[in-house]
Amino acid sequence: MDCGMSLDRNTVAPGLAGQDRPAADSASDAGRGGRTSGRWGGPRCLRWTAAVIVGISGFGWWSREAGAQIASDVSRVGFVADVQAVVPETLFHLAVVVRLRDGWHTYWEHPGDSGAPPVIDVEAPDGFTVGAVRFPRPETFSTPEETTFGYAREAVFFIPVSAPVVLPSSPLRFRIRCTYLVCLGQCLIGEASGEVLLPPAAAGTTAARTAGPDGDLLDRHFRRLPQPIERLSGITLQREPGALIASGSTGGFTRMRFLPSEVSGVVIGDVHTTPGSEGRFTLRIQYEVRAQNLMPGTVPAIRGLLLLGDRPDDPAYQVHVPLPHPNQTKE
Amino acid sequence: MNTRRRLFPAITLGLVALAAAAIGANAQNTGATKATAKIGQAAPAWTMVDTNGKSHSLADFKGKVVVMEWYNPGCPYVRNIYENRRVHAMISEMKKMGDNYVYLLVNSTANISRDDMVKQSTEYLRKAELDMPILVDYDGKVGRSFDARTTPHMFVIDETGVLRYHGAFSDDNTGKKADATLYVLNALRQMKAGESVSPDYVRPWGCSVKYASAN
Repeated sequence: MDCGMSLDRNTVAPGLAGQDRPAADSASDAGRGGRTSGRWGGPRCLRWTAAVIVGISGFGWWSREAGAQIASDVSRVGFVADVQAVVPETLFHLAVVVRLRDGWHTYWEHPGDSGAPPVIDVEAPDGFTVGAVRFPRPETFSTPEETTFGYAREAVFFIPVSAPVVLPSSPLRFRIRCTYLVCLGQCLIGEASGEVLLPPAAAGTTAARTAGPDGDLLDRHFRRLPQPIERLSGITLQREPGALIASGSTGGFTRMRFLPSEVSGVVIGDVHTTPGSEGRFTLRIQYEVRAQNLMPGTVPAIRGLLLLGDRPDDPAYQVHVPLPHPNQTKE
Repeated sequence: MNTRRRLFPAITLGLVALAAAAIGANAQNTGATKATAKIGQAAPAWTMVDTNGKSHSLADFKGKVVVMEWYNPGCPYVRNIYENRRVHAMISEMKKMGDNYVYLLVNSTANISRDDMVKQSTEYLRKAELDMPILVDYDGKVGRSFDARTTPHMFVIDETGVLRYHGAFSDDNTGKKADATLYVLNALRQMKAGESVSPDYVRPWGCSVKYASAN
């Protein structure tokens, strides 16, 4: 199989390297034959050799009941970088790719009425700076009971990494561990860990981007990362007592929504969207700040995503408007 | 006849305007106003049968502080707080505070049969070496009246029946952090000290409550 510049170039999993097979489940994989990659769609070349999924079922009397599903039955995890080598003083991304069986979904950083976001830890070589996980625009899952936000079929979580001025001459090893929740009627927690191995490149050079199916996958999801709200044409944000008014260009879209992020002590109420004249919209976000629920060190703010359109590839913008602390300022 | 001809376009225009207004002004309900159980107000009254067939009512517990945990042993987040003995630790602390505290489990899980739900609930609790009432809310009416969203989702009701806290069990959904903040315990201690509860709400994490379809 010609995999081009696939994950096997830059990922290593001790004991699993070279095998083209889905991630294993530590609790139940013994004796289970390798399954074919691409079982749930996506590039067959994508090697999942880096991921080791650990079932959460536990031990002793908590152990998994016979026949009970675990996360690795319905999901697979891989790790990849968006570059083929690391150049000093440059920014690149590691990515956690979660593939899900049809119908299952995993969660955005602010999952909505239920669920939980993935927890991703990266152990990088000395001198590297690992940034906060970046989440692409989520989908909305609505039932009569609840609304949650996340990803079906495929989720890619990006971790920005800044390289130091001086790199060692040996390959650079990034260890990644991801805990994530998948749900479909029932919910399962998955754990996966693995490594991305990248060679160092000379300062001043340009590292080749990851190409082939993996590169296409990363590009597709990278385009879905929310942009700063300042990039929305004609945007204005105006705060009134108890409401934030956002106005901007519709960009030809007829539907706008606000997905609130959880900020302790800030209660987001109803959101009204009104398409205005001359291609502009107005979004009114009602809020209340409850001082007793602000966690120590939290700056009250309205945070969330302004979504134009309904499709995953439609634009998304980050909203972050600090609010006065209710104990300090009266509006 | 002429009058009717003039009225028709007027009515049509009016309907079009109403429809346009309805389409144009799009209200997006974020769910913030759905709850019927509100902090500082009387908790919704309920009567439920436990897994042993015994009937319980909130009114029975007047004079006691009631902690309700929405429970589903099929949810890994619920298992996290039992396997890591966080519930055990909290109940132990509650006992130290006095005998005026009641810890109740409520199971609204309806994506399995009622018999299976009862069986799984009791077996899991027995394995966890805990003994408290598991109230069966198979039709989901009580869960919906409290707006219980997740398992676990915690509710604290004071001696007078007023809801004082609801939300997350702790700040650690893995159940592994030894120094996790147990919000329920915080609330109970503040109530005992005569203080206002802070925080009185923290977004609950966990699995969705597997409610029966609403009729």
